[in-house]
Amino acid sequence: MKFRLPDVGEGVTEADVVRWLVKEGDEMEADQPIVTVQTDKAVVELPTPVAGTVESIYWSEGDTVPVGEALLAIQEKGTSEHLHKTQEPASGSEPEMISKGNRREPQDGWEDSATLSDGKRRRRALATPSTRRLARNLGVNIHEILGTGPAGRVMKEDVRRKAAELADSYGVMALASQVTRSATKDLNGKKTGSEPSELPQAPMIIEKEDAGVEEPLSRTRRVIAERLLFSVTQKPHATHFDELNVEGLVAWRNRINKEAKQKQDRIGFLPILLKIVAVALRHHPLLNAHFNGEEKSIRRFSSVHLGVATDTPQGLLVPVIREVERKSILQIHSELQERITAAREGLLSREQMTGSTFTVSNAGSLGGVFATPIINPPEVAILALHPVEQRPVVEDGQLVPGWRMNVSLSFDHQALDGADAIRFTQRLGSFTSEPGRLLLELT
Amino acid sequence: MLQRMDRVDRQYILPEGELTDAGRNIWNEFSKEKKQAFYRWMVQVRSFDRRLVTLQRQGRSGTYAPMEGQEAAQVGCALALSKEDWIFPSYRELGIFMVAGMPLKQIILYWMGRVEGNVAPDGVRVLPPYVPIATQMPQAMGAAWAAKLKGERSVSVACFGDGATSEGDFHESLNFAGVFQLPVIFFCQNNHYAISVPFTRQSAVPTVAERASSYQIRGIRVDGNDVLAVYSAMEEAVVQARQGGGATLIEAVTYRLGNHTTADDATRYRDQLEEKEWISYRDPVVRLEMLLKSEGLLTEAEIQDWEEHCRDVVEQAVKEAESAAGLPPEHMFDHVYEELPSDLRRQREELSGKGKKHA
Repeated sequence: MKFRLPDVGEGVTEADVVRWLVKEGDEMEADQPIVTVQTDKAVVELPTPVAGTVESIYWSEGDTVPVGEALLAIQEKGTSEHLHKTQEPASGSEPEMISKGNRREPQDGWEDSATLSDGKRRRRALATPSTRRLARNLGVNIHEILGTGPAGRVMKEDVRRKAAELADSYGVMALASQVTRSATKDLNGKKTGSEPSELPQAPMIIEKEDAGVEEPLSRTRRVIAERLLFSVTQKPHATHFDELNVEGLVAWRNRINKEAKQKQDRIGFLPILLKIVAVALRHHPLLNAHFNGEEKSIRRFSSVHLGVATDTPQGLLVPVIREVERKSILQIHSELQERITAAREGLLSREQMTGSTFTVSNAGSLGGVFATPIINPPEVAILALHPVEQRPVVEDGQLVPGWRMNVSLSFDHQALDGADAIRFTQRLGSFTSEPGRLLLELT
Repeated sequence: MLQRMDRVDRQYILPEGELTDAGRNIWNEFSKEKKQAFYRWMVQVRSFDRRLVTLQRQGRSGTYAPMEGQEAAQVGCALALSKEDWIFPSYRELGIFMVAGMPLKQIILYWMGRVEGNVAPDGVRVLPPYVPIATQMPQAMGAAWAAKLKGERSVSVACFGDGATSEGDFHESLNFAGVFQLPVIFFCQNNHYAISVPFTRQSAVPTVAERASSYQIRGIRVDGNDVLAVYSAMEEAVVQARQGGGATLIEAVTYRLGNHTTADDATRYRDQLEEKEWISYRDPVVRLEMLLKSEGLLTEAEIQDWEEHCRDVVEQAVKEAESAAGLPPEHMFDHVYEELPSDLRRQREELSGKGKKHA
């Protein structure tokens, strides 16, 4: 059987694993304490409901486990049937995925900081539950913060300051790894058939006199909210709209895809456009940069690491394709497929979510005309791609059908000016109208 | 006024398991069976209480308010009552419920969040746990008033904690009980903390019992971990109530050894030395065990047999509760309105698949 994390408080949604009191292979008596967990309210020991052997442990010390997730699998020593039933709400066969694919490994001393070398638990930071929650949501280890409140209490401002420092030191994308983590767990929750604790419930019927339905944001959504708020309040946004001629791109892609033997070898516009963006960014390095608001400095990058904003059930996630300027379109194509699938299934690793230098938001598949995308901090620009479609265009005084694509480029006006933006999209247009120009860029 | 109040703590069984002289006189009146019954109930209650905490930790039951440490207060209180008496309990009253005759299965169902767990069998006059603090007190007073008007013999008992004494309901019910000389007993288990607020932060008056004088009723302060003291105080209060002598406020001074509820962490607000003293020195079960052993009424083997028996009884009840068929979801509409308003009627129809479905 799998022992799932119960709601050990009153309406708590998650708990941190403080210490495992058993290890895989251990024999257990019924009701023997097996793990210590910490909720917002209390530290509690959980006893096993059955006697048996520990088959596998799914979470490490320091992990935050959503209520209802399997904590461990127990090989039972023969217990009553009814108990088994109550403990296994419609379970599938997910332990493989969780134990192999999803178990979070210690990163950047995150876990290590919770325990000292002698194995003793670190001093517990003084803070209110809501501050702890904020820290978790912002991906900040609260025990690393020196509180400024009375008796060293960690205040919300301390957490926000720490989060901002982290954002500056290794890019806010690090925060996205927290997003992945919770997304991963949410998804597992869904697969096992247990209630997805974070996803909004089915829409409710709103009647005339109904005051509406108020729901707290999911953790993923809260991280997104914090980051977007940071971006629009800290970065003066300006958005440049342009219409690109994509005649050459459409014709070239059709030719290539006709030659494709199998359906899965056919490539979409996105990998080609990502390549074009990478090539264009080499001509406009000002856009391939991070802006440090405190130091008032810009860090330009020689490589192009593209974040690709991806719509997932948990919200917008941004997997990163590295060194796009050095990869072939086919490489980009296959890597993109892999990343987007992983993002939708919540399987992205921290590395796959961090370190982008420029972000592309592919709204094309969904429709729309223009957008004002919000910059992914600390980057300085973001490009939204809109549908490739045939439009009436005037050519030599004649009305003819032409393939066009709109783009919307938001940029941080602290670091860039409108002219930079216009020059950049014009450069994009030169490649989309005639992809043959890419040949000139071969190195 | 002060002479009506028993300022001196009533203590008959000392923490060392020895009887005081006054205690000896009362103890000697009891049959061997009665002496053993105190012990057996307290062990049974403790065993069940611990099981309910474990069930909650395993996700098999809901939030629970543990009462370990208060066995003497609850068993001593409930054993002094008769079948016709009405009990108005709070939520930390496992011992009261068990002695009053609530089946264990029902108690588990209650903590599993099942509405059936509120239903007492015929002849068991214990109300469901009152979760909003002190709300049971005016109702117990009202029931006593009704009994008086109807000329019935029954006594009402309101069980509550020290936190309830900070509520207006406490004052109102004691006041009416005093004015109308009602057959009601206000049984306060002062476990020193209203969740995390110590008693000194709730009351400038150092004891609960002495407040009785403000209402011209009798107040008794007893060692709540001494089952004999609690029982005798209750017995006096019951006799007085039945004879038309009016209400009594009993303060049983005790300590919960665990958390306020399974969602609480008492180490955050209680001193470790204080906890240790209550656990290792003032435990109500241990002192009674020592007394019975020294009287030759209890052996190690009997202790073990009884503890095993208690575990079996509890396990059987857990099995019954966990295998009890659930009620249909439509049941949630059954207990608020005599006649359902239209929107609720529509919801019930939707639930049972009769009404039109919304996307």
